[in-house]
Amino acid sequence: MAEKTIHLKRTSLYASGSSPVNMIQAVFYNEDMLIYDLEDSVPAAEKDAARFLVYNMVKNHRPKDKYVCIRVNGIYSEYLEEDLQAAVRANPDCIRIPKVEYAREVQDISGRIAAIEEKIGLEVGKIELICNIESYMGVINATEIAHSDPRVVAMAVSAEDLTASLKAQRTKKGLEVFYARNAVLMACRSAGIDALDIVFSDINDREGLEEDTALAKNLGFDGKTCIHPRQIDTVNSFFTPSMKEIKYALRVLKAVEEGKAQHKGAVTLDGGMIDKPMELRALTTLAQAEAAGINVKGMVI
Amino acid sequence: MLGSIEEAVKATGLKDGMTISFHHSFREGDEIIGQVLTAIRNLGIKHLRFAPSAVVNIKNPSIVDFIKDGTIDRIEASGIRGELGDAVLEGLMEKPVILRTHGSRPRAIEAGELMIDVAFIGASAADEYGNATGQIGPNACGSLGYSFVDAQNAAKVVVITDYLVEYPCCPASISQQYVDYVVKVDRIGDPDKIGKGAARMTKNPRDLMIAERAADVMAASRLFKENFSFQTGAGAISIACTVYLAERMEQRGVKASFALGGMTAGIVEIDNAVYSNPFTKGSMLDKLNFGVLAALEVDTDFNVNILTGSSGEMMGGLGGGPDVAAGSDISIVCLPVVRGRTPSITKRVFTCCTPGETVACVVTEAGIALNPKHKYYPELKEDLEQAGLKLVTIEYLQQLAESLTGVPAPIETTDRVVCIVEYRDGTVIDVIRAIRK
Amino acid sequence: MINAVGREIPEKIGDYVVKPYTGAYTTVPSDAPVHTLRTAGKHSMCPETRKCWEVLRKPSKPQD
Repeated sequence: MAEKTIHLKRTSLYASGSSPVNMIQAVFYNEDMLIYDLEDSVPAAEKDAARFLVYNMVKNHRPKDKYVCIRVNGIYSEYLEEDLQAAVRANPDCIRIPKVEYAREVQDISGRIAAIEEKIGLEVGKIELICNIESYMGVINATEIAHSDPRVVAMAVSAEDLTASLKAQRTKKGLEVFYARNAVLMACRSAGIDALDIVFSDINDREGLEEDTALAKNLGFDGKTCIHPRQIDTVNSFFTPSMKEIKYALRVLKAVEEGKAQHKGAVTLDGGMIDKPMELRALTTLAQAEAAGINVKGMVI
Repeated sequence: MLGSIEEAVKATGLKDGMTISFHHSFREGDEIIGQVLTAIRNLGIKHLRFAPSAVVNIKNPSIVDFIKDGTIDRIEASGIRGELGDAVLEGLMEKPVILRTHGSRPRAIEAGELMIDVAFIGASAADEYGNATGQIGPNACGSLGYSFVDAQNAAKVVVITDYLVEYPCCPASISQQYVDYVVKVDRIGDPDKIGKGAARMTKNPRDLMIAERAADVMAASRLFKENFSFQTGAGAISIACTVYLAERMEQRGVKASFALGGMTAGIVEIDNAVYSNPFTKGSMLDKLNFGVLAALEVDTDFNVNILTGSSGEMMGGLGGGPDVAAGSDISIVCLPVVRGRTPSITKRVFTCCTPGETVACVVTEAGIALNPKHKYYPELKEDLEQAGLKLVTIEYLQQLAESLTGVPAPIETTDRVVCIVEYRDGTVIDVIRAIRK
Repeated sequence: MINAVGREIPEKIGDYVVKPYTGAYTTVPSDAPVHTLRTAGKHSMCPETRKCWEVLRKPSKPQD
């Protein structure tokens, strides 16, 4: 049985730390993950004001039903140290790191977070990490990044900077980043963590969004980042599991329960071993089903 | 048929101290009020009571000038804004402004509380006999419904048009039997600002969420069945709400018996007196199942403020909101919990326009609150809970709003009453006092 | 005085007769006659100084 709480990541929405209005409004939409941003959406002149606002927002007005994230500035930026000091003290669910390229970068930040956690008396290791892959180096090193630290719970592909680093042309169909999306996805699967897909930037193209989200779901992604609130409900709807997936998940959990009751070390289902990641997947599937309003209790398997 | 506005004013026998009225269908593009008041000033007539059918919103010439030079010394309207509003709040007028709802103005006219000596009716097309309409002509504005009661009860009626047609003017909203004089001028309004026709739907995701939620409330109610009736205002959220409601109507195969929009939607021209006067037998509004209203502020007693803003400034107008709230089975007030740095849900509204007991439900992006003191509270609560809609208390919304913005400092006023806010029946529901500097 | 929504309103405001709000559904519809300043009788349909449509001046002709 997993002790961790399942945090759905079907949809992520950024709220800029330099826009108090957006930060206030962002809590009322249906996104699973709300990211208070200190990085790209905040101009250089406003970095410290944004840091202060985000700290206060997360510390004192934290939305109760969301996975709360703070995106700090880049690893080599002058702002990172203060960002981490403020972010850790605000105690979000997770810190999102932009432009990750090497495992050691993640390990370095994880260590710095641990030092602050210890200093202020928070449980060390509780704050999770999500790595944004935004360059070709990040794609090449995706597997090692995914395995770099126990705090890492997901990786997200960010297409804009990625296409620039590839010297590619960004298109709506997204073929130029297709390999990158899959590469990151595979790396996430190898580490048993969540994979979050790129943003669909045309907010007026509802059909295009549906197509792209369907593709993301079919490829195996666990969620997609949204650039505008009006995309959220559409994207959420695609990450609703099918009846088949729900029933399978219920069977997995039933097998795990029975295994525990019989004090079995290893549990099998349909001839295959059930490991921790599979169990987590099953719990996530049920959480997605419940979030979509499907009543799974009492379902006949 | 007379040659100029001045001639018409003289012919009506307008004297000092009388009452003149206008309708508001040309909104900000109106050029009649200015021309008429200028003509009146030139004739040296003073101390008039100015009683337009709604909010006065013209910038040039400014009404304030006509007050300062004594042409006007009383105003009765549904709202006053901008320069005029600020001036009134500072104490410009000796006699307080009287504000009435769209439904109450005809009542007051018919009860003799507001007696109109001369009604000036701007029409985008008219014939020489006075048959007049707002539906055709280069500056068409749509409905003239708000001026019917004036035409029928004023001592003298002057139709002013810039587009004279051959007799008979068809269609005719105002019939020639009510008209005393007709004047043709070069221009009755600025077509760019008259703003008739489709009002645009909001794209703001927060407002869309609120609108959709309001539609969910209506669709969940037991009154959402074949031949239900509803009204929404002309505001952005209201229009979006109509779209979401239409989706649900299609999904459930439910048709409405009638819908009344804000006058910009004006599909059917309705005599304003029949429409919402509480005392007319068979007033249309009393058959309304659902009403969707906007608001500037709502308090924990569900009282609604649609007149004054966060610093006490006059910004709205009574409109038809209080009429719709009282006349509908389920009245739904839609607003965001905060606007910028101002909380919209408070412990006590600055100005009470619509009493809480007529408000069934408040819908915000943070949740839906039902009024336990409303007559349909038990049924509505049951219906919404059964539909799985999450309900919160109004106190929760108020505390949430104030936790986001802080509690604003109270607005300080003097004792002097500058505005009397009347309820539909002519009683005084609140007063507005001058702001202390 | 305090009216039925708890608002403080003066008893007198100049020459305006103050009737305090007593509730949304408490006032009974009135059967009182409608006051109008409109006078019955002929209203100018044909101002003497201007033309009247010729067709209305002549008596109606019987249909052929």
